[in-house]
Amino acid sequence: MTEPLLSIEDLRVHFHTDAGVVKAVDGVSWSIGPGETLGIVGESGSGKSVSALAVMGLVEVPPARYESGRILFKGRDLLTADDKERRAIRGKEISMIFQDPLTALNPVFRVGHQIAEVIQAHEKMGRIAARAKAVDLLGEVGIPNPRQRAREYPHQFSGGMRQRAMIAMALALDPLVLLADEPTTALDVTVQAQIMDLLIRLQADRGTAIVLITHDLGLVAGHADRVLVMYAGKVAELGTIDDVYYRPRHPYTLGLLKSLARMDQRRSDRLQPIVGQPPSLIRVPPGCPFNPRCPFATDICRQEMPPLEPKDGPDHLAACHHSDQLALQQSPAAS
Amino acid sequence: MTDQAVPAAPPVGEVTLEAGASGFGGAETQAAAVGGITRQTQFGNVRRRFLRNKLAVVGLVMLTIVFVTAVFAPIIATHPPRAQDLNITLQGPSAQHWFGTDELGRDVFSRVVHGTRIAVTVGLASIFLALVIGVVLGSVSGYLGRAWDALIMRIADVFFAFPLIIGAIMIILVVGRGVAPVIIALGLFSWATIARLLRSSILSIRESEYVEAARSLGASKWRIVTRHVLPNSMAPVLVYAMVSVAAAIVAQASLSYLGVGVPPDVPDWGNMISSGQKFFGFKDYLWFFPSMAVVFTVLGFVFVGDGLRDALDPRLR
Amino acid sequence: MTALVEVENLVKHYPIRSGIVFRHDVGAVRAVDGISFDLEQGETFALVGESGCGKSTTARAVLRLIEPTSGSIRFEGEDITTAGASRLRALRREMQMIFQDPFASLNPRMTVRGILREPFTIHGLDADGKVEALLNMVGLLPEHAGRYPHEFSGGQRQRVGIARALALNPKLIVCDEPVSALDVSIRAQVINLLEDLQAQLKLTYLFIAHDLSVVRHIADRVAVMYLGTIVETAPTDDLFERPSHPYTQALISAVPVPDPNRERARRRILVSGDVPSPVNPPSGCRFRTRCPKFANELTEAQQQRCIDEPPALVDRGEGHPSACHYAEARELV
Repeated sequence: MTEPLLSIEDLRVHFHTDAGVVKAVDGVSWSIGPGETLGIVGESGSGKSVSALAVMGLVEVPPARYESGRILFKGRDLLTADDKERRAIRGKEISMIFQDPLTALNPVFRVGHQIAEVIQAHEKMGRIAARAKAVDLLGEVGIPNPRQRAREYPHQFSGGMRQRAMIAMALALDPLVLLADEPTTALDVTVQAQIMDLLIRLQADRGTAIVLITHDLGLVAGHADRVLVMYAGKVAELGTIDDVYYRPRHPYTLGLLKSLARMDQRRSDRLQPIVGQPPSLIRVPPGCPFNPRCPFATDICRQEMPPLEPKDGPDHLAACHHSDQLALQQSPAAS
Repeated sequence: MTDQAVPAAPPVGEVTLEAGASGFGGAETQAAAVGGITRQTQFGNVRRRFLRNKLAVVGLVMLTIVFVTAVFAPIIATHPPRAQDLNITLQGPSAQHWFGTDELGRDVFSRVVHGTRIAVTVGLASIFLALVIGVVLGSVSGYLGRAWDALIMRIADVFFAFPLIIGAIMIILVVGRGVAPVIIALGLFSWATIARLLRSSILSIRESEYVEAARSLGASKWRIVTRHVLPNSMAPVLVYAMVSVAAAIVAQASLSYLGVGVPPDVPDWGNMISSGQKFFGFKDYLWFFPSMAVVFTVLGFVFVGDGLRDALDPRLR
Repeated sequence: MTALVEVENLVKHYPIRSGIVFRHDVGAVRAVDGISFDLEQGETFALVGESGCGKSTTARAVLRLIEPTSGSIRFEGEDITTAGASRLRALRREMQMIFQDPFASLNPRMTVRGILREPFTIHGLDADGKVEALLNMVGLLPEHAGRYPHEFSGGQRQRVGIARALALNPKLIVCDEPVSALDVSIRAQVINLLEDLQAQLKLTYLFIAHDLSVVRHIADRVAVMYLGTIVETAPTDDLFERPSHPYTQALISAVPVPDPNRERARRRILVSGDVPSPVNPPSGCRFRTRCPKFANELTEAQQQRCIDEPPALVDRGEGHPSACHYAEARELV
């Protein structure tokens, strides 16, 4: 791997709430290189979005507290950088898109105006030039009639169009990293295909690194180079998609792959679910957080959190005491 | 603009959502799954949040003092409230008469204490009346809709358009003065907002999936309204009612002050302020103490109402 | 096998009214526009499609939670579209519904016991011992009965919702996206439970979903809906292996599968634009405005036919009915 562009090191973000301490991110590390796509997969409450929000400075402190960690962008730690430096990076070098574009777009301003404003905030550019660039961007993300649509308000856009507009805004300053938090979850599947197609095309044109945060293992299989599997605020497994899907070394990954109904296969007799419920981030079980649901669990799993260690090769990491046993299992993804 | 850089407005709720999705909501859940380590009922949660709000607790203490005073007025009062003694008129506060005496030699402290009874009675009774009218009409309007809704909401508009005091004066001019007319007058002019609040709350609840589930089970309209819709739409109404009691107490005192409330011989804060103002500037204790009683009681209701609102809906914090 | 439910030419239009004093109709949202299908005893029939295609409206009309504008629904041969209030109440025991959102479908102020006793109370039946039996049936414990919905996780709540639907021992259960709000690791548990219950209680499912992976696993037959009409219907494997309507093909090709090699090898059929408004659907074939086949493969004369003539839902030699003049089966998965 080349020099990473953005890397997170041993990040711990804990939320102090009435009910207790929510360990949303608890010792998470990942990195992404230029032009790469990293998938971050997890269920709701796994903390999968929190590290990205921390990169953007969107985690409110308090209730949150950074217990440890660094967020390095081109070697600069965003957590200790001064405000001016952070502002110069966030939005310009790194930008983010969200599941619901309606909450991210301001309903009282015209779409074109909002995009132009973002451009002007970072670049010395006249209003007319910024407007023209906004129209170009809307055209580039596949909005028909961009000149006219730029003068419309967000509510006049359909869900898919809004997501396109938000992508246009996020790409306005040609960022090096795009954080995409469930960008297609609220969309229909044919529109999802359009949006993913657009992201890939833009990535190819501009060499943007994309962090794709989702719960959909299919989406990651189709679009990511590497994948990070999160469980209960911790990293369960990290590796190339082929390693993780075909040679999973964490029982949670294996369990997820086994439990999925597949559209491309004739009906199997029965799905094989993961037993039990995902834990609350306030009461994460001691030892490995997955141990109460894990078919491989032994005493050591209940006592000791397994370290995230290389398995097979240096780039395939898993946090499991028994990953050797998993190596003997046939992955359900292999077809 | 500090965050111009960020192309998207920070979705403030989102952070807690992701972190909390299984965090807050899931806390109890998980306990339930592993056999009930801690069980938190909804009531328990509301109580905990209420008691953590300092102002709400202060309000609760204030209201307790008010209610105790109202209930035990004859014991707390040092003199009979209507006993006149023309030998000791207009005396300032003393060990004998803590809040002094008025122009008829009546003990101001005892009258303030007894005034609590009128204030609390009128405040609670009128808002209770408003609740009964508002809940019935609001439910009909919200759940049955159509022509009922249009009719009831237009009537509500009419009542809403009148200032509380003016409306109440009109009623009292027709039926005459007294405690009951004041209660009826204030109740009649306070239900409109309650009905509207309940209606809008019902409109959202009636579309909920659990109401649809009840319909698919074959539940009658009556059952759906009383079991599913009302219990889930009453919270904002009750909070509003709590604050309305304060408004009713102020209105009640104002009516007395204007000379159209309860009869002048009744120990009532409005009456006392009204007769005390003649001595404004040299016997200020005459209007000061009853005024403070009004402020104290009103603040108590407002603090508790606000605290209740925050406790019932943590999102508003 | 006999048909438990027969839906014929079902139409549901929501009028759009205008004017304050003189209310008059200025148009209609054609949510469901003339669809027909049968549900066989004991099968799982899936209605799939994207948001706004009319699948949920259809489901609710079958249960008569929504009054259809026209068309007929027969349950065990009896036309229930004209059933009066008391007959309808009796029919409620025969057909029930499982809802999408387990956080919204349970009354937050009732305990699980209250929720599960309600069906019996409504129909004047004895509920003694039933709550425990139902909880047991859906994999919950009797001691869960005293708890409130918010004390459960999503998967457990959905089990409570399923128990409520089973209470009156219905023949038909409409499942409205029953797993789409659940976490990935919980979905399989609930799908297995639905399958076990079907086998055990001889239930018939009308399964509403947008997730084709779940549909492929659970359904016996599938109908694909687009803008208020059925565009293709077939036995499940047939539909997935030989889809013949361009919309079905686009839908299937858009669903990602959790298999990197397959994903690399697949080709996507992208449809352009957004779903048109159901107030003013396109003339002729409703899909033509977004149809990749219409845009790329058809001659002008062929296109004219799509514009003029609404295609009938018939078998054009592809082995199952498809509402496309130029239906042609393709292998996509």
